[in-house]
Amino acid sequence: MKPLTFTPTAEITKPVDLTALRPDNLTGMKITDIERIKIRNGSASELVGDLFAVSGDNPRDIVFDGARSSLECIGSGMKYGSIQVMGDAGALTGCQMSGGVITITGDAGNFCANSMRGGLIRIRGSCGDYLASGLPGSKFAMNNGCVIVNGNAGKRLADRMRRGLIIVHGDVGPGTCSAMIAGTVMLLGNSGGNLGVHMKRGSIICSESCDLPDDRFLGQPFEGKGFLALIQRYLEEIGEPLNLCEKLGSPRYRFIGDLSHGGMGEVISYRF
Amino acid sequence: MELNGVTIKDTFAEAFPIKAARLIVTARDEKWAMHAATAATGFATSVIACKIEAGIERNLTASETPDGRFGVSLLFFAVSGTELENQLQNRIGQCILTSPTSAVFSGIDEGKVVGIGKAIRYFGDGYQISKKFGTRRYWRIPVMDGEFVCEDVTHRVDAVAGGNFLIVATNVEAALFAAERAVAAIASLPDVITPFPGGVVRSGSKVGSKYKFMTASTNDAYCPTLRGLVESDLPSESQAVLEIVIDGLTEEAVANAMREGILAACTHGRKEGVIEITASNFGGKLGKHHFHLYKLLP
Repeated sequence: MKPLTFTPTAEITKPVDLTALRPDNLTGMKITDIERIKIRNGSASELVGDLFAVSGDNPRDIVFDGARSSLECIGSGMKYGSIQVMGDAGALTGCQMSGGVITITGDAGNFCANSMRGGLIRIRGSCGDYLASGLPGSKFAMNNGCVIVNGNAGKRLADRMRRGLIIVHGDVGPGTCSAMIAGTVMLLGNSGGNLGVHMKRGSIICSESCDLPDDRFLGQPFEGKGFLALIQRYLEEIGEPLNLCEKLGSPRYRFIGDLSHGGMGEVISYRF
Repeated sequence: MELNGVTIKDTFAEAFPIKAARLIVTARDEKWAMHAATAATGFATSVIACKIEAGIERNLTASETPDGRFGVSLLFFAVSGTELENQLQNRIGQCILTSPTSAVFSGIDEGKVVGIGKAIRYFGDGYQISKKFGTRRYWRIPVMDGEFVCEDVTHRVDAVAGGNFLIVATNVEAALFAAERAVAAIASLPDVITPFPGGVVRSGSKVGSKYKFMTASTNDAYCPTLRGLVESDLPSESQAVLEIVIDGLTEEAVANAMREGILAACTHGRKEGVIEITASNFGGKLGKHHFHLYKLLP
């Protein structure tokens, strides 16, 4: 079976909401039916067939060919299957997804993986602001699953994150892990200011220097390799070629905080 | 049937269904992993009084364990899922959690869920940390040497306990020598343990007793000192009998272990004092798994 492939046939300049084009929604539908699905294009409503050429016959495996940042909500609410984005993805990619795999070969926009509840998102490029944060008004953000970013990520990554794993190979913006409730965030580049501010629990692992807010964290030398091997075990299970022991070496320092919010969070630094 | 001059009796070993779980214990080195493993599998020879049968399945290299340290694979067998869960939680709490640098993980990922870390975590008194990667949840419990890492749950499977064979020899030395070879051969096999001390039982039992409060008593038919007093099953030249009991995750694993054990016990044959190989059964009333010696051997 061939992946169900969507290729833009016209210049898409306005934001297009692709929430409907996900494996659990399209299973059992014919191409002619899929082409008749209505989606939002800016403020207008249009048919899928007017914007995309649709080919293939396997809705569990979807490809967005020639994707660009105006394609929003890709894989939003997805429950299973896989979506490959060949190019850039717009805002709200993987928002509230609970299963399956999204792979983006380019960059991802803001609010990616917001309130994610399961599954895996791989971003080969960089990502915008509020990655794995919570939707406006929600009590907590990402609640399970894994996001791996090969490039950089913007500000307020993992804001209110409750559970799951995020790995960012590049640099991250300010306010990362603000008000974090739990979960694990691994930062392999530089972190912006106010890292972990107001965090209650959760683990932040920093391979480079970490910019923690003053007087909110208490640090002490740390020798244990901790649970790094368990993350490595999971990465091997999902086929992610990242050798953490080689990349990180031995931890140097462990900070607990935010002390103004109970101090049950931790920041493990490998280069203090 | 004869094997190197040793008579193989036309009989069968009777084994029974049981619930089993596997744990992987790791530590900073082999010494401390073994300390935790031996403590966790202590007083676990028979479900009759210990409520569980347990043993070390094999040692694991760093590349085989979840946290990349030296490890030991342990098998546990109990008559019910509830008893198995209780025993695992008690043994992890008292024997593995207490052992320096140790961690414990599930060794079986299919079957019914058995909680381990989900109960042990309360030792952390609120300072425990949950970590979930994929479908696996771990608990990091603060302890005086750092952190104790324990997987949240393991799984139990239906298994087989009580596979056995008896080595009838001219004297104790000959019986022990053959038994040690048999246990060594079985130790190299996957999915099985020999739960008794050194893998060998000298006090084989029969069902019932002259005393009403005893459910099992000495297997008088195989006691050399009772020859003449009871109906003995011993050949006239025999002065010692030792039994190997085998628990395994599958019927095939137990059968394979019995075969390899018997072949190893008979390696040097009758010239070194091994007279006969037989097996213990209860007429087919105890368990549904029957291992006929003639069918096991080539």
